[in-house]
Amino acid sequence: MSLALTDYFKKEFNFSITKNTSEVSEFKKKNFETFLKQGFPTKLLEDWKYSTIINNFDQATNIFTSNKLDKVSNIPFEDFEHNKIIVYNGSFLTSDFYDVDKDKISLTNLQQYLNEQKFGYLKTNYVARNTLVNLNNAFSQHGFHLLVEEGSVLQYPIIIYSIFDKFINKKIGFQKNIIELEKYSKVLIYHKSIFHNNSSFLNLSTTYKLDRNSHLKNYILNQNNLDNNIFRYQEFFLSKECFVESLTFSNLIRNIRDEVEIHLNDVLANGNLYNIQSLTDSDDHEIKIKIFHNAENTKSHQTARCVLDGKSRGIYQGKIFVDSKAQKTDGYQLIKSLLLSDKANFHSKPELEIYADDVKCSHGSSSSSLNPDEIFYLMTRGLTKLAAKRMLVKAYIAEVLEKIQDKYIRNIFLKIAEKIYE
Amino acid sequence: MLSIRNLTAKIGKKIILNDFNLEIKKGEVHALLGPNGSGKSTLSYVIAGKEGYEVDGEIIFKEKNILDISADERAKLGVFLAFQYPIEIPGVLMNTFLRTSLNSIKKAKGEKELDVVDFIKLSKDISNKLGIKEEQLSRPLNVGFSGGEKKRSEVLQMALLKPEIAILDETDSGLDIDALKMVANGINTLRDKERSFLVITHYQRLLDYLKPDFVHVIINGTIVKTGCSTLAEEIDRLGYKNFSSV
Repeated sequence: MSLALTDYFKKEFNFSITKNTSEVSEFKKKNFETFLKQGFPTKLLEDWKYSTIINNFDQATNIFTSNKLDKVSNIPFEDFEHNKIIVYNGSFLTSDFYDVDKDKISLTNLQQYLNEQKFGYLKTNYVARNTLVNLNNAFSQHGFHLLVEEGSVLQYPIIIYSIFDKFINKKIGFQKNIIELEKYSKVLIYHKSIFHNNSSFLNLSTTYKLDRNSHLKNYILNQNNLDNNIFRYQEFFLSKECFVESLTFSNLIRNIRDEVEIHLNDVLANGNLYNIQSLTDSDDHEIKIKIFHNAENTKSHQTARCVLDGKSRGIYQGKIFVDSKAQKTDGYQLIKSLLLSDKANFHSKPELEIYADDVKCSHGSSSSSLNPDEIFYLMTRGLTKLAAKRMLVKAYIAEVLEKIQDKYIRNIFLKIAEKIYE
Repeated sequence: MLSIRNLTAKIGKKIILNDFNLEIKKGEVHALLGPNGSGKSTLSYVIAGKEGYEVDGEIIFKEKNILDISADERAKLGVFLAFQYPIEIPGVLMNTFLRTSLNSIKKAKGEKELDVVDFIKLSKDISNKLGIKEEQLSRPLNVGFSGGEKKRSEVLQMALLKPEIAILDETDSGLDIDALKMVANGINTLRDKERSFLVITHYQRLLDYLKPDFVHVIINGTIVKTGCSTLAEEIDRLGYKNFSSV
């Protein structure tokens, strides 16, 4: 299946590295060699055994290279005050920051950033654990690098609008962004994708590096994906006393694999991860989480709520890894799914891998359908059966959304849930 | 108002209500007493429209056999059930739920729905009378409520929805004496010549405050005796042993 595609990548690869410095070329080569050695992931691998996206690697057979337009119109901007970054078919296009926030950040395109080799990114990331990430490292050219400067607290949230349009139809799109928070900085980022394209294979990767005592709130809306297969990889590196709150909300998504790795590398690093799946029809969403507790007194919290209707399929594989050095780790994972249809299915695989002896780790997973007693209770108060069911599903999702610290973002997602089940 | 005729309810082969008959007229308060497992809660569920029972007979309410309509349609017609064990629903805020519920009923009656401001004013007003703290209204429905708070929440819902017949299933259980008085007062303030009550209870003390017009004893799914408030006093003294052979 993928041999022809691999041959195609071989041909394209030499061309793609010509614009880079020798160090960047070396980085890309190492990644590409790893990909060639290991090939595309298959169901034989534990991490991919539930995957269906692997059947669709050759849905698109040509790499998208560059945009023909330098302006995108009709972007559905959110109606509250925010800073904007516009990414178009994987390429950083433009940004618009409030004056009060302009001096707190720097934004460069990926090519320039990689060539300048800051923070040793090229040294730390050439051996990826996933060959799709290797492929992304080998081919990504056009993302951005965002730096939030030391001690800066952005007054307004940043919304990253990623627009995909017909020019990337049936093509393979790579996008790599690097977001770096210097010491004592704070930022809220909301990722919103707008799809006008079809039948593409999108390989999207973001690296977040948080320096000491920095705080990141990171929210992703996966919605209205028409007919694309998407692999999205996010990795977070947290230093001492860093905090990350991350939410991914998925609805009408066709086929997406969301993979997240959080590395809690120093004491008092803390990662809170929320996932909501609201799937219907033949939506297929895989979530693969790995949290690495690499230092003492680190904390992680994962909560997932998955609502599945129609013939949809949800997968949650979540692993908490505790290194032998990571005493006093506090790790928590709770995955719940609600099946609204006999034909929907959900696979859950919580895992703990612990090498320290003084830790607190718990995990749980449950699947259920709506409780008929709850439906009856609401009906006795005048709600129709359908309205009662919708209220219960919204409540099931809202329970997680209520944990979101930022009230604007919380309300955005509550409204989205309200609209889905109105 | 409510006429239950030859009502039989069973689950599988188990008969729970057996040729049950009861007539409640406008403005009347009826009390139903019976030992555990005699069919009291099943009666309340069947009147309110819970699915899962095989039901025969008739429940005529406002000249309509309500066995043919769903629980929400019965609620819109004016039937209210205060649950013995109110359901906890995390994620549904009490205020949101109450307003949705009230507006569903109002809409069905062709009345103007309440906006948020008017609703909050109304719900606070009733809550204060029932001794319900305002912060309880912004909490998830019944989650973390004490037994007394849950029962008061049921009476609050009844006061908001203003049903024509209210079935109170052991609303007094788990209440301390002050909460009991407050709940009884809440019920008494709703009493008028157009509204009827069926009060299911194990204890005389609630009836001391409510003073029912009729008291019925149910054994094995059938009413075996009907009387006035002295019947409840008799049961309070002697229990159900005199009825067990029926």
